[in-house]
This record gives sequence, structure tokens and C-alpha cells, in this order.
Amino acid sequence: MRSGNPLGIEKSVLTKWHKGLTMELNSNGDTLLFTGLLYQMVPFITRVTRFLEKLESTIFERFLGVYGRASRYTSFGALLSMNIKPDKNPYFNKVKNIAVILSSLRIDFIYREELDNYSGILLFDMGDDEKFREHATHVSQLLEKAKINRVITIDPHTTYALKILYPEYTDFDIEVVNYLEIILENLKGEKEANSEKHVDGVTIHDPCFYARYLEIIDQPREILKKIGYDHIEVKNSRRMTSCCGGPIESISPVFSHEIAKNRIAELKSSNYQTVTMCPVCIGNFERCGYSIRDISDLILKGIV
Amino acid sequence: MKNVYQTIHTQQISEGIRKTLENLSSKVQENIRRYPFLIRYARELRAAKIEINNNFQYWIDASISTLEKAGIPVFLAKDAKMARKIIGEIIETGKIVVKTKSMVSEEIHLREYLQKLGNEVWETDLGELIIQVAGQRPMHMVVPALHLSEKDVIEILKKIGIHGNNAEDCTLKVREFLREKFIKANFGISGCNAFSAESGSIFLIENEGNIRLSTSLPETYISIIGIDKILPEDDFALKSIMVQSAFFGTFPPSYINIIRQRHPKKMYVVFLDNGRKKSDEKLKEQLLCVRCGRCQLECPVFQITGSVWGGDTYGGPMGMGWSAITSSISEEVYLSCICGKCKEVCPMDIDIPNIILYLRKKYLLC
Repeated sequence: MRSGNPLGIEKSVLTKWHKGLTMELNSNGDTLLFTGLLYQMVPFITRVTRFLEKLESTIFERFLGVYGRASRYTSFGALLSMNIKPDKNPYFNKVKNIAVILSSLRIDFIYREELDNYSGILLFDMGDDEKFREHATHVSQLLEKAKINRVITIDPHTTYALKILYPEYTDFDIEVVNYLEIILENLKGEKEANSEKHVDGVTIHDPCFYARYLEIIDQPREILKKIGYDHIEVKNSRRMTSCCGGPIESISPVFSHEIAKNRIAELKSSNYQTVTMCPVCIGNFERCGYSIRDISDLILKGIV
Repeated sequence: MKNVYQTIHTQQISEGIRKTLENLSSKVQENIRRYPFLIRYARELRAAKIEINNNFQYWIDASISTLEKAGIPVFLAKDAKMARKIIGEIIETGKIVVKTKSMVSEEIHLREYLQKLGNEVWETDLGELIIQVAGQRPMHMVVPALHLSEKDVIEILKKIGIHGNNAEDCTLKVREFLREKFIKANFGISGCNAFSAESGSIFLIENEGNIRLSTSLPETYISIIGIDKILPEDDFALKSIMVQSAFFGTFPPSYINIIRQRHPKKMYVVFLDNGRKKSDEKLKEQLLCVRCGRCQLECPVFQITGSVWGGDTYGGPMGMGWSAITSSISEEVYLSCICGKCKEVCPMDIDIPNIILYLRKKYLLC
């Protein structure tokens, strides 16, 4: 991972998400918005996964070991993603939304491109402890040198990596808060942000890592309630949520697709629009033909 | 992973699992709601099994001593080959053997071995018999033929001269077919759901009644017991079978068998180690498993692949750990989503995703 991310994409292509943002981002302070670059990578991941799905189970594939399968991401990633220009990345908007929401709630934070890095979670998931430790040490040292005291994370995988794994694998000693926690905390102090009741309810797809690994389950529900949405629990929700299939898209796009199909069937049965809060889930569902909204879209409309 | 890929095109597997899950999931919830003591039992059982894991040799010796005092011949097989040899020498050749569904016998490929020695061997659990006749592997530990339709089963059973018109008719005819085997059988073989070192009792649960017949009618009975099934006392063994059946979804089970002695009929016990005792700390956690199979049905990957994914014998998320203990680490550990649902539903609170991640680390180092 010389590029610092599993797709081998030049980092600046992912950190320019704030271009065109009307608000100004601070760069002096000790609370950092740490995007972990995962949202920004989704269009690239989708493109590579679609390509690899076509190759899967061909003779070509059978010669690859499992690790080879994952590292194809780097080989094909950079190649296939060359023509996704930063200003054409639709996932930049989701990160922008989050920045605007935080700012609207008067939550102080800074953003510095050089400090925002991929967490290395795929290395951990692959069982490559040493490379994960090396990567995590590099990322955490950058933060410590910059005297960052607190990071705000915006997706479940990066949150899990920084909050749970980094202290275990490195000397990382920085407070990690997830944006949903901090948004709820700040909404609690205010009146119902925009109490106009929305006619349609929403269904929540709980990302596995939020629900079962980090216990971030009630926060999105309470936020949605605050901004006037009723939520309807779908079959297999909260701690019993079903996986979207995304975690194995680098190993087997075909299986990942089949798993997504099963979850999509459960979500569709609610007849309400589905919201979630994980770029991996959103990306995988979209690849499999199911459009799902990111919670930040609703929060932005609800409070700004 | 070639075989795993074929499962995508076998829709009957996912349909069978979905139906089984729909049928059992609410029953598990209901069991927990109605009998809250089950959660306490599971916790107590976990603590007892940890103690056994940490002192395997002591508990193996205690179990052997109890059985020997009761006059029952006992063997300790260090691996599958030795277990097959011991049982082969007892049964020899030209015998009729009735078997109950047993994962530990799948683990040592016993049926095939006894057939090679020239014995007539019959599975007596309906689903397992269908799997035997079809020449397949069980698709789930408890519901081995969940992937086969009524039409498939009608066709498969024709191979042994059973011509049924529907599921009910087939079941009746299989009963008649097996009745003759039970009566003529020289040997009955079972696994063991829980073993009490205190009394030397073998605890077995079932819903069909075939275990009762297989373990009582034949002149000689052999029980194969994975050393992970040893528990200190009858109390824990009872709790274990309750937890196992409740978390699978069938509680209480139709029959509970407790077998001690069979005078004047003969009985043998074969304890099987096969990698269990030497498991390292991480893998020992897998040995706390009571094999209710709930993690399998709830796993998003298993819901597509059935037991084809997850190793040689056990399949699914728990199969990864069991295969590593009893056979080898499979490349298929990489197909797990690590989504954590297996841990969420495990009554024994086994951190299965952590075991799978550990196996990935070991696989990379190989």
C-alpha cells in the first residue's frame, strides 16, 4: 500500500472532497475531521469490483491465491479509476454534508489533508497484522506530531480501526468520536432541530460494525426522530442486522453480490426508503442495483 | 473454492436454509423468552467447558476411570485414523451396522471406512439416510438434507427400493425399511451430545426415535465421543443438551437418551482427540461450542453455500475453527464477512469472527 490505500489511488484525489465547499475549513486546532477516505473511495471500489466480478471464477482467477485476489485491487484500482476526476466524485458530497452539519451545530473541528489517511482496515481484515501495525503506526504518529487531541470519524470501519484497533496495535492515545455521537450530543441541547414531521417513515439498515462492534444503534434513530422522521424497524435490524456483503467484495464480488441480494429483499419488504451510514454498504447496494440514502442527506436537510 | 462457487447456481441450498431459518428463528426467540434460565445455563456451561479445556487430560482420565469401573471397555483415539482402526477391529467385517447422525463420525469418515471393511452400514436419521443414499455431504449439522426437495428425495430413495408418492409416504416406507435393519443389526453406533465424567453417562437428544433404537436394539453399541463433549457432572450434561436443542429451535427435544450400562449387551466407548487437546488458546474457544448450528443458519455466507463452505466436516462460521482443529486451515476463511452475526447468536458467546481473523493470520504465515 505505497499509496496508503488499497486501490493504489493517489491520495490527493481523495482528500480534495472539500473543493467547492461554501464554508471555510479551519486548519488550526486539535479536533480533526478524519474521513479515513472510505466514502471518497466508493466510486473507485465500485468500478473495480464490477470489473472483477466479470473475471471471477474464470480460469484466470483460479491461478490467484486469496491474497492475490485482494491485491488485484491495487493493480486494477489505479488503472481503472484514472478517469474518475475529483470533481466528478459523487461521494464527495456526502463528506461535504457531514462537514456542513458539524459546522452548523457549531462543533469545532479542523481539516488537514495531510493528516487524513486511510485507516488500513483491509490489512487487518486480511489477517496481515504486521502491515496493519506498520500502517496504523504511521497514521497515528502523523496525528500525534500534529498535536491532535480528538478525531471525528465518519464511517464504521474507520471508527472501529481508530477507536478499538489502533490503541491495541500502536501507542495511539487520541480520543475518537463518531460524528453520529457528536451530532446527537449537540442536537440534545437544542430544541427539535426542524420538527416539521416528514410524512414518510424511513427504514434503517444498521451497518454491522456500528451495530455489533461499536454499539452505535440508538444514535441514528434518535437523530432521525429529532429531525422529524419515524423509523420502521426492518426484519433483522439493530444487533441482528444482516450484512450487505460489502466486506468480501475484494475477495469475491460474486458472493458479495449474492449476499447483498438477500439483504436487499429484506429491506425492500418495508416499503419505506432505506437509510444507512456506511459507505461500504451504500456502495455495495448500489453496485447491486439498490439505491439507498446516506443518513447525512437527511440530517443536512433536517437541520440546516 | 471451486465447490463453493457451484453453490451459487444451486438455489435449493439457499431456499432450504431460508425456510429452515424462518421456521426455527422465532422458535429460538420464544424458547429464550419462555425459559430465561437457558441463558444462565449457557453461561454456567461456558465456565465448566473452559475448566475442561484447561485440564483436558485430568477429565479424560476421570472419564475413562468412571467407565472402566462400570466394566465398559474404553479407548482414547489420538486421531481419526486411530479411531477408525479401533472401531474397525471391534466390528471386523460382514456385519450390519446402524448409525445415528453424528458429526464426529463424519469427522473420521467412519461410514465409508466400515463399508470398505465389508460391512453393511445404514444411517438411521431420515435426513442423513437420504444424504447417504445420494452420496452427498450433510448440508447442515442438524438438518442434513435441507437443500433437497420432496421430488429429489422421492428420486433418491428409489435407489434403495423405496418408492414413495410424497414426503409422508416416503417417511413411512423408510421406517419400514429401517425397522428391518434395526432388528438385524449387529452393531449400533452413535456420537454423543454430552458426556458426564461423574456418572459415565452418554446424553443424546433426538426427534425421530432412531437413536433410541440404534443404541438399544443391537447386541453391541459403540459410542464415539469427542473429548470436547466431556462435562464434569450430570447436571452440566443436562444443561448442555437443553442449550443445544433450545438454540437450534427444537425445545424440548422429543427424546432424551441417557445411556450408562447395557447389561447383558455389550458397549464400547471411544474418546476422540483429533487435535482438540493440543489446540492453542484461540482455537480452544471453538471447543466451547455445543453445535446447535445457529451460527450457520444466521451467517450470510452460509445462507448461500450451506456446509459446502467452511471446511471438510462442520461447515459455516463454526466450521472454520473446527476444521482448523481437526484437519487444516481452509483458504475459505477469506470468504467470511466478519460481520459478527455468528457471535451475536452463539449461546456460548464464542467470538467466531475473532477465530476466523486468527485463522487468516495463520494462513498467511503458512
